[in-house]
Amino acid sequence: MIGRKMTPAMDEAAERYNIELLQRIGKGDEAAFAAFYDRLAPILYGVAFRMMNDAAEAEDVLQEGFSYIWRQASTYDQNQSSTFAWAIMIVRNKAIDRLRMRQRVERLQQRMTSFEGVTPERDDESALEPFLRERRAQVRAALIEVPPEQRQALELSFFSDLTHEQIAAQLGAPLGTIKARIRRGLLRLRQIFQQST
Amino acid sequence: MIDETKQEMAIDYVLGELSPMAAESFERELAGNEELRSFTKELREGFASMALTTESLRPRSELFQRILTEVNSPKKSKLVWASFVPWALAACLAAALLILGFDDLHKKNEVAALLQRDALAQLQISALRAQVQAYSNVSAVVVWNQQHQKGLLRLEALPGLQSGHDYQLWIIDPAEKTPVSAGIVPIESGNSARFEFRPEHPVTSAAKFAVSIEKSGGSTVPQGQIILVGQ
Repeated sequence: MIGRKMTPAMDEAAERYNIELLQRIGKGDEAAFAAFYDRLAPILYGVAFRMMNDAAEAEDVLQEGFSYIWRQASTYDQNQSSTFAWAIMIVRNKAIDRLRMRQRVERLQQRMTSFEGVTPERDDESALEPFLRERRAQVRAALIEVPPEQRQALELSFFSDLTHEQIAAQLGAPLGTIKARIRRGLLRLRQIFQQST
Repeated sequence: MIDETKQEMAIDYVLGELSPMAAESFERELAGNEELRSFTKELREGFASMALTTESLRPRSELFQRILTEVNSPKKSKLVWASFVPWALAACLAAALLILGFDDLHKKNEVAALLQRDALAQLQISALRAQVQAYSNVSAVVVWNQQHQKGLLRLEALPGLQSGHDYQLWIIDPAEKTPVSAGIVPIESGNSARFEFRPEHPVTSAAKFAVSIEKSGGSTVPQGQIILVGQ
């Protein structure tokens, strides 16, 4: 991978192709939409499932996320984020909205569907998976370098719908400490990615 | 060199911890500061990379078809011109009343009486009122057909919306615990919108309509500031 410019998740050629797909999606190209879905749906579904802990709800999140991608593809700005980060943040926001709604309406009763108790299968077949696998190993290695308390705060910040105040309460630490852990962890991640690109 | 205060602002911005006003101010700064823009992008990429602590999973094969059906549904359910005429007429009537300042209850009742005499009787018209000063010049009208569970929202003279946010329409149904989303309002040419909508699921009655500012992509329940309300 040395010498090949990468975004946090993929190499430059893969990213260029993703950008091209988004441009085509913005013009209503369903084939491009299908290709973008095939490339990113597995990792996005993995994130949605981890956040929702429910296969049916994770699929709903994915559906909302991709519907949004379809409508907003033309607004994607590569100066703001990579295609990977853009799509991840969309699905994460959709999942957080659902988690908050679930709390608000206290809908504790699980949906009686064929999904009950089902854990989705791993997917190693997407065209992006070779890049993701490599990058996943780098992220995991990088996170080992991040002190455990920073990692824990970062993970809660990313995967849960908790506010910083709620994270502080859950971890039994002052709010200022939690904010500092998240900030330091994020700066450390940035530093690690700078070194590797 | 980016000082520590700016670094902290960038982090809070990426984590969505800034207030809408602070985020808008930060975005203005980003536009003119390449170093800060690059730093912020790197932070966002770092945060997004947390996703890679999960495995890729295979959604059911039929999900993509479900998504395609959803994204194409407005096209399929597009109203034919003939059925749209009453909607347009009602919307024009409501808009005209607003423009002429006839938005008080008495005049509205007169219009309602007129409407009841013809085929438009089942239409409900709501003029939405600003809840915050910045939206006091906005003209906002909803025409709603309870029987068909569909409506039309017309917005004019909207102030600029900061990036990363969308307008979202809500229907307040007394039978529901939370407002029912009627979707993200697409903005045309910067400051107006014409939005044909359906609620996320059927409502028993539309007691009120509201528009809020939500994070991009909208929310399943209102999280952001309510800027317009009407009944």
